[in-house]
Amino acid sequence: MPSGNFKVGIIIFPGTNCNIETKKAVESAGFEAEYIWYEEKGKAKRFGAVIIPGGFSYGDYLRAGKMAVFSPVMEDIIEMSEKGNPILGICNGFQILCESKVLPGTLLMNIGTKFICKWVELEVVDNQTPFTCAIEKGERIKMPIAHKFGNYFYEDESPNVVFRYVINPNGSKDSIAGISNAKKNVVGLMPHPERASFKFLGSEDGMKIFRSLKKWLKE
Amino acid sequence: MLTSEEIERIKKLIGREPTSDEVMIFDAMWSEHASYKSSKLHLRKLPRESDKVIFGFGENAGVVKLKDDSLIAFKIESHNHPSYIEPYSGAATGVGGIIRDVLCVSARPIALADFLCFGNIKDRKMKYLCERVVDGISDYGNSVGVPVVRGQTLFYGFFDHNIIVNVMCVGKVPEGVKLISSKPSKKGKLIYIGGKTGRDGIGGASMASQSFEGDLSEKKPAVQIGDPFTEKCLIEAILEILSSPDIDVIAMQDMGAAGLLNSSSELASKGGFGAKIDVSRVPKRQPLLPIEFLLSESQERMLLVAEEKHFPKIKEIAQKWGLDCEIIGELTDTGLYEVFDGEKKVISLPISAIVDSAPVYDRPQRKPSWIDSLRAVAPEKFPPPKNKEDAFLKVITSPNFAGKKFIFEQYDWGVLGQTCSAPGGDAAIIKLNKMRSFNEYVSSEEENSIAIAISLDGNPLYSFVDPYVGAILTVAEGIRNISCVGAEPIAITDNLNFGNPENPEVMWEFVKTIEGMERALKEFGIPVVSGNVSFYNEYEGVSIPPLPVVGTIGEIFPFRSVPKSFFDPGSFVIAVGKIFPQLAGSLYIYVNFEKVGGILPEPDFELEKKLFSFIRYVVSEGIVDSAHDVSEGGIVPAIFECAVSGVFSPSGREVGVKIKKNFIKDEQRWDLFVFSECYPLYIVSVKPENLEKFISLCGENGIPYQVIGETVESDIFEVESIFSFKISELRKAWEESLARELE
Repeated sequence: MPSGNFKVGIIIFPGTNCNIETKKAVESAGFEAEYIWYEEKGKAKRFGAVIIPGGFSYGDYLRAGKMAVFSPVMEDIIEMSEKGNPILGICNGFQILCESKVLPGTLLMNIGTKFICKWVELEVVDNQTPFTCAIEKGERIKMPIAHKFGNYFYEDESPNVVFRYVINPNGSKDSIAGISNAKKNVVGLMPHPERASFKFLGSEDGMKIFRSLKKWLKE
Repeated sequence: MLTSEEIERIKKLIGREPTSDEVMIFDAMWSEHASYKSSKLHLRKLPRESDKVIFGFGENAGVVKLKDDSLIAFKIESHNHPSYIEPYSGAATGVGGIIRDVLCVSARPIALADFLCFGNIKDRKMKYLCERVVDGISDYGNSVGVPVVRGQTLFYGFFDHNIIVNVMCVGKVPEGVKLISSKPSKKGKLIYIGGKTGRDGIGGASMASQSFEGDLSEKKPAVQIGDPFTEKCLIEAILEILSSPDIDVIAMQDMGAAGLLNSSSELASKGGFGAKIDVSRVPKRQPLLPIEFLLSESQERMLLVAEEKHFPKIKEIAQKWGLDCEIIGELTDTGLYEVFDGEKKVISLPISAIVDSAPVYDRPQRKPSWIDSLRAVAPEKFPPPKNKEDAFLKVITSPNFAGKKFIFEQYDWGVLGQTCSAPGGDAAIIKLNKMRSFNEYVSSEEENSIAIAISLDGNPLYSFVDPYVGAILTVAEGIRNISCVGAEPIAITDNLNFGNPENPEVMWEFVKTIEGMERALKEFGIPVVSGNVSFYNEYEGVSIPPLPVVGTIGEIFPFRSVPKSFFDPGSFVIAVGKIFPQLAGSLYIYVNFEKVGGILPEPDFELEKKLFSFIRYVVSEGIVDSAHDVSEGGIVPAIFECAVSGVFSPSGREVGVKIKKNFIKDEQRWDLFVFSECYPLYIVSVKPENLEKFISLCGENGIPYQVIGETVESDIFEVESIFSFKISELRKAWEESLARELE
């Protein structure tokens, strides 16, 4: 759904900690980006797309991403997700989207019970989403993961898989690294594209996610 | 614990018997941990100045100015005692404390590095301590969003009863934010900001100033409890306050050792002021006595000095981030440290008595009786092992050499998007993004970007054998490491871990260490800008070996690309520097014969200095693909590291290597060369097309070198006529041994 609105909102909860580099990556892809504080109700709706970056919202107390569900900004997110606006949840953002049922399934503790931070290879399974439309289907891209609760699990209905790990690092069911909702406008993934968006970081593959969004909004 | 002489000194200073609360105040403020009374005299010898130093000792963290005018703050701190008693909280709060030290000068914390030593890895308790310390650092560092970019974890029997947990933090002052001193230039209100005060950590400073004996479980309440979520909010709140144009913060100090008491009295005294505090206004978790308010080491709390008119705005930002914020007192002209509980005055002491009047000791020193017999150990007398493969495997899979991926993958090394390489290399490279505001990077990639290199080093075997030379080598190692990534050294921070200073033999080791550091820093022309001393790492009369841990900061300007490990087959492997047998204090002797000893030669300072700049040059100009210095383990293990460390980069893999026997001067004594920890010596890889240029540069600069091997496509790691392995199998053994040992 091309909206021509190239403004991207980046949501900050207390405890969000990947907002700075996410904003830089988004801006470097040619967007205008602005932060949205979690208490600012109504603001998110002004943006063409919204990203919930990684971190430990509310310290991940209770459960990763759980507390953020009850915040004012999430009401906007839910409304936007139903309307079809592109929404991306990265790491903790993915956890929040699952906790608030915008995306199906849940993220359990890694199978080894430890936090894992390392480079992984992903296969792009679905390139019909706003965040993968500039990538070839089946293309392999490299990004780091950094999480303790990234073991994706679903019970009944299988989700629409967008990214799969080439080598499963955390026990995720079907090696799922990222999914979308049925409409495909909301995507969540555990790996960090913003940490793989510049040459000096070792890979620029992550930039493809943000460039996809550019393409999506333009066409 | 205060001595009877110290009690007498207090009586003279205040002209009467101290009350029991006052005794507790002096006990904390005059503790070794807070007053540096045994080390002060000697620390003064270390060079502290250079034209790059903006803040040195006396501030919360050292601050240096880079070539592009970026201001970098850094400091190291120990949490050895608390981490042994309660490893998870001890290590976590060690991370929290050092982050706040850097935040205090108005820097955004951007990187952490840890240096950990545990006892015998076979001991169940050590496995537990290691696991919980790593969990503590991982949970706190990851949640607070500061990457752990470099680390070292060692296991030696010396540390069976006293573990080492040193954490270094590096920060960058965002462009447009004013540097803040801990010395107030004018009076103002004392503003408390952060989490609430509780009863945890009372007596922490005193506990860290005593040796361990008997049952330690009763010391648990003296260990603080950390909350990384509050710390993260504190970082953002403080930076938001400091970047608000209409708020003027006069000074800042974090509440670390000896809590509110230490922070408020030191800050006031530095500015030449007195202080007045009302503990009834301090945000609290539970009812506390006035003395408990003063001594609590509850975490995530800071003290700001600002004029009252700025308070509403400060409080508004604090509340946005869910933090408590209250005016709890003010700076005064009385010269007194006065504490009120509401209307009631509970403490009144001359501020100079508690802050500046701790005794300074010139403690007796005596050369340890055992050191000569240690030096008499002649490593070359140990027969070369019959099974060469086995001897090599033993070294590279020993917990002190083995790959540390099991540990560093538990640390988020990539948050903030500036880490150019996963941990595991010689030095971390952090590319500094220019900041548009306290939480925004400039998005365009500038032409002349800058990066910093961070190394953190210490070698307990070297320092045990010879504290003087060991200290020189520790300083040199840091500069070698950052040279390997093309960085120019700027300054160091040091953490001096020692036993009981009241033991003259420990004091001798301490003084020798300082002398060695002084020599090296002066030779190399770099200052120490911050640091920490941890004494009383002693259990029932037995002290740890001397262990200076040095954090080195360098700059890479202009920053172009990240050097790789051995990467492509078909490159030459070249040893740059001097090759000679050097097994004193070596890992090979320790691992294969369970012995430590020998005579450590002083490094050739001229060659050392020449190599720093030569290596830096050939790395930054891309004449070599990779550089790595020979250290613990020796020459061939160092080459092995070059061959495998690429696996941590996104497109990396291990590379086969064939090593010639031309550097082994005596084939019968292959061990003296294969495992030689000679210095200074670097291993570089050079593509064929760059070889001629490299050789002519060596000639022009009088740099000794020897081509000793080549990288190959095949799955092999061999030393001609000594041994041959499959590199893939060696890599697996090296990478997996630590996780297996810790199970």
